Amino acid sequence: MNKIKNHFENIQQIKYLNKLSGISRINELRSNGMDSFINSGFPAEISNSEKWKFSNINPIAREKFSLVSEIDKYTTTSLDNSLINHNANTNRLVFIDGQLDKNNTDIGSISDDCLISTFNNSDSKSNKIINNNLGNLINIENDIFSAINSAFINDGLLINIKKNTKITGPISLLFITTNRDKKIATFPRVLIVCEEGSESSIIEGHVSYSDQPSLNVPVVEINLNNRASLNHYRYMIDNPKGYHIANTKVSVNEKSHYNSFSFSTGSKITRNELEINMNEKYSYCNLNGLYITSDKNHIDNHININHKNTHTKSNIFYKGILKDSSKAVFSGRVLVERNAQKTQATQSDKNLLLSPNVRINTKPSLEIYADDVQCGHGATASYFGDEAMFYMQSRGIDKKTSEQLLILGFAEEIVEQIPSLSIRKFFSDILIHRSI
Amino acid sequence: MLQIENLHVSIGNIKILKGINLSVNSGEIHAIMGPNGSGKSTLANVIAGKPEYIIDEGNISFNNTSIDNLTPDERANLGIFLAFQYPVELPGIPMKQFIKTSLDAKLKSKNMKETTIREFNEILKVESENIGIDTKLIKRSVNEGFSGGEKKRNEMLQMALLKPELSILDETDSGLDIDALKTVGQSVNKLSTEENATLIVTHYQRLLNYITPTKVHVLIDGKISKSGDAQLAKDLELRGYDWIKSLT
Amino acid sequence: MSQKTISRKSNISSDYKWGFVSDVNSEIAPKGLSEDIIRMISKKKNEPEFLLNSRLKAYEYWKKQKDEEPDWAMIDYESIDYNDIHYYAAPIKQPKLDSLEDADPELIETFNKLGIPLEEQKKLAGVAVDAIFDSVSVATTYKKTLEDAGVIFCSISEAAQKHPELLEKYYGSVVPYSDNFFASLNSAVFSDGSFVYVPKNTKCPMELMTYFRINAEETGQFERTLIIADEGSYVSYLEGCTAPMRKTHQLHAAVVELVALDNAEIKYSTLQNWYPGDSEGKGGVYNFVTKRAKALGNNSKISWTQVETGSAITWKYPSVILQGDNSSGEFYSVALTNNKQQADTGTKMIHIGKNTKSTIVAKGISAGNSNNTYRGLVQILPTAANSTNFTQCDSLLIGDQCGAHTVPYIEVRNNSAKMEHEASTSKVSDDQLFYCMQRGISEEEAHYMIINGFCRGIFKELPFEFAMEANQLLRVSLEGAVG
Repeated sequence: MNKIKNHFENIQQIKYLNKLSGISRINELRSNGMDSFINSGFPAEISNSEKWKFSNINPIAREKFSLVSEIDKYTTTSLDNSLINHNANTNRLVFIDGQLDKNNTDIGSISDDCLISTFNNSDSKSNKIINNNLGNLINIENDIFSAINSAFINDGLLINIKKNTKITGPISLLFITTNRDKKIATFPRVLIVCEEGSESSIIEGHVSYSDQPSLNVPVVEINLNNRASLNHYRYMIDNPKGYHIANTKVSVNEKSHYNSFSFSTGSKITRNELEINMNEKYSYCNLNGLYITSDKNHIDNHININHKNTHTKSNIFYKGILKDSSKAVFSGRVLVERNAQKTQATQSDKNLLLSPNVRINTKPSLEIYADDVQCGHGATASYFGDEAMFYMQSRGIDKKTSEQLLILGFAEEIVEQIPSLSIRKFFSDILIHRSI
Repeated sequence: MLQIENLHVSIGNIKILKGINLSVNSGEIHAIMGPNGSGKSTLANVIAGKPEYIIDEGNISFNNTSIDNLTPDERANLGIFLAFQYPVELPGIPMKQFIKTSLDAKLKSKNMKETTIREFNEILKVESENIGIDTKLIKRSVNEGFSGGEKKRNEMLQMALLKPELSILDETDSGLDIDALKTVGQSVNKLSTEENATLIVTHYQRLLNYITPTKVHVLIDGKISKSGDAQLAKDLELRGYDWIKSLT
Repeated sequence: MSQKTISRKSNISSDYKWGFVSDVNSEIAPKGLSEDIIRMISKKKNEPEFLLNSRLKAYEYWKKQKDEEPDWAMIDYESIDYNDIHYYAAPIKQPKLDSLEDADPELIETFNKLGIPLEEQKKLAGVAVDAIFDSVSVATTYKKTLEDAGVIFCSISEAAQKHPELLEKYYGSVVPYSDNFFASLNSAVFSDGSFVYVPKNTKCPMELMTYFRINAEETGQFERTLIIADEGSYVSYLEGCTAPMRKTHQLHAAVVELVALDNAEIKYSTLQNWYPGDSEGKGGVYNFVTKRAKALGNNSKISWTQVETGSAITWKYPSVILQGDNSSGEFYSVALTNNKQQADTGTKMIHIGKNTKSTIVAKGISAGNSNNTYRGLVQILPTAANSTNFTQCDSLLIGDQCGAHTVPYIEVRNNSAKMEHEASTSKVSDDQLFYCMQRGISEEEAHYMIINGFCRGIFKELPFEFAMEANQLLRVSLEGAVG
């Protein structure tokens, strides 16, 4: 227990940790997560491993965070309403410092097509889904952040999209970290189960208003049953001192389709882990990402795709825009198992280096055990081509404007992958705001 | 020479040819015409032995022997040549090496002596000039970076060198400009003798302005709907494939 | 009725035609490693003090990290008992040769079997050869012509006697004894190897060549090669490797260091065909080699070309440190694995100087039950303004029981640099096979042709004779895997 107290100072005062949850799976995960954390400790000790080779997380281990049990101290007026209300018609759930904020939450219009429930508020039907699915995709023993998240599961969220339903308009989840006089740690937990033949879109946003080195460790588990399709949009906007270590695990089944778009602006340490298991035939995933780093940000996108069956197809397309003294890491690993014949997999990471002091580590790797496959990857890193810059300037556009136009052009290739126009506009707006 | 009886062919689970009967004799030029998706290219490929096509029924014989169980190279060495619709690129394999290997394989199968490098260079030079293929292309890898027209000329060059008994031209005319089309026409006419035969698979009549076919067959939905002489191609050009469909 | 489909035969191990054992009386040190053995090796060679000290330091260092044998590569083998290896073996008729006539006739016979161009007819071809037989350099041909040009080409033992000042200056300057586990071991026990010095503004009048062969059983081979190209010079160096068929594994842990000064160029080509073991994975050489070059001078150039078909396990990353401004580094590689072979190979390009340029073209072919990994590092440091890297890695899979992996590490820390990396993995395409077969070429021949085409860009970088041999090697190594 001391090991935990070293990192989380007010652990005794957090009442929910001592209370048994009404859901047996949650009790089990909390206890396993705690055991694993006590056994292996904070990642300081594993920072030499290949998995953490390019991201030093010792600074996190050296901090002492506070856990939050109430949300009474924040004032909604301090929050940027444009983010909460970016789409008036959107079904949305807002979580403040890890707890559901009922005032800003509105899911009235979709309650027939899906089951949405927080863990603290779930009925027997939801409990059953949670018991059957929660924690199935994470590895508590080998991933310390999934372990801590599990140890501290509290007001998690279940989204269950019903069979053959098509949900128009996205469900928006917004996780807000407020500014307090101390460093806080939050552990959002989301379980998404898409039943057979369903179609839906989910926006997952993480926004921090804190000016403290706060820690946010979300874990999202997604299970796509046969023929289900999900568009998953993810963005994070944190402060330069913040820590954001996210884990997204997806199980993709027969003819199901996972489409993700990830937008990150970085923080002191940001790590987005994304693991996709292509379990069944004709499963497909399409992962697009954009990272824009500035100051001394560090961002690490860590992607694993496991092709486990025939005729599966995956596509990774990420781009980075690096400014100031920031550092970005891209690590993509595509594994094609022996029986996953007819796999097609592509992977691309392109980086725009805008300052002499930036640093990019990119590692797009392939591990292939089946022969009838078409796989490839590519990576680039450079400043703009001189020709492009010269061309713009020869048309009378000054250097700064030229650069801005070229940056937006570079990013546009990713943004235009977003199928929904309104969501594309939402991301374009953040992009313009953040990149110039 | 080529005898096709009641040929049914499928790929995967899709039936493409549904009972083709065709007989081509020495000295003849046959044109197979038909709309897109009628099975023309399948017929060309199945004669050459493309592995993914399955013969469900019927058979193909060449010079009175069944070739259904022969591999593509065995068929090629019997004298069957397919000019591909989309010739594939072979990176790193030089044109000269490829063509010589292919020519030598044929000579070897006939128990004849392989060409010496000098002999080969000589005939290659002569034929390249005839076809009008740029000598720069000869120095490159097979079809790599060739334009559509250059690829088709390359097919004609190989046809001229290998002197096949049966030449099958799979939509060789598609995407060609008028000069290249002329080259194809001349190549076929020049090669054509009383001892060999040609099967031209095409969508349009225009190649037939340069080559006069002995017979024309119209393929619709995997079957030959109508056969006739050269006039049939001209009628088709005027009245379209719907005309044939309306007849059946 | 279905048409005959194009099928693949199961794997039959091809005969390893270089697998004979030479009957040469050898002088062998007792098994195991100790300070005494190291002193013994050094004394046998009558080495200068600095070399002995360097060996002892390396041994102390190696002992400390003995439990930290690297395990990050995608290779899998039973741990090596370092006390069960002879660290020194030399033919008894230790030849002190200026001409071949003095050599043990068995050796000459061996080299003839290897097809090594030691003989007069090969001399006409203008290749100077140094042959390393169980770690000892036995013959260096063509000495006179080289001497006239001022080129030093001798065994490293001889260099220690005759050119200690050059050795002391450059030995260990590219691969320090503390570099990695196997380099430390080599630095402690290395037996012999080649030494080349090309003086200022000299183009080496012929290609230099070393043939390496492991003969004695349970003998580790630890050669050490050092090549120095002084300002404005050029040298092309070839190395070939074979080993007899042995039921047990043989350890080969060599170190190669290259140094190119201002405006100098070194071209280093390898044809590696150590015994790969049988189709069950029994026997074969463990090839754990550290090869590194320093493009030290401005405008210097290093080019590594390798064709690797042998060894049970290959662990090697010929690298270039691009230190001089405008220096360039190239790595061209074909790595073929069949049966139970494992290869984890690639390169490192470290850009330090301004306007430095690196090119990597790696082709991997996996067949049988083998695993073939490309692992490469491209590092562009903040000082390396306007540097460029281009990398192309392609893998070809033959059969459904093998693996092909690509693990590139890329780090860019200067925004005026330009880095581009591309990789692909696939099998021989059915359309390509059909096209070739339609032209009368048999399936097996079509496969060889397409695979050869896949490697052509690399073979082109080899000297002509080597390219022919590489072609042949590929074919022999793939026998039974295609067609």
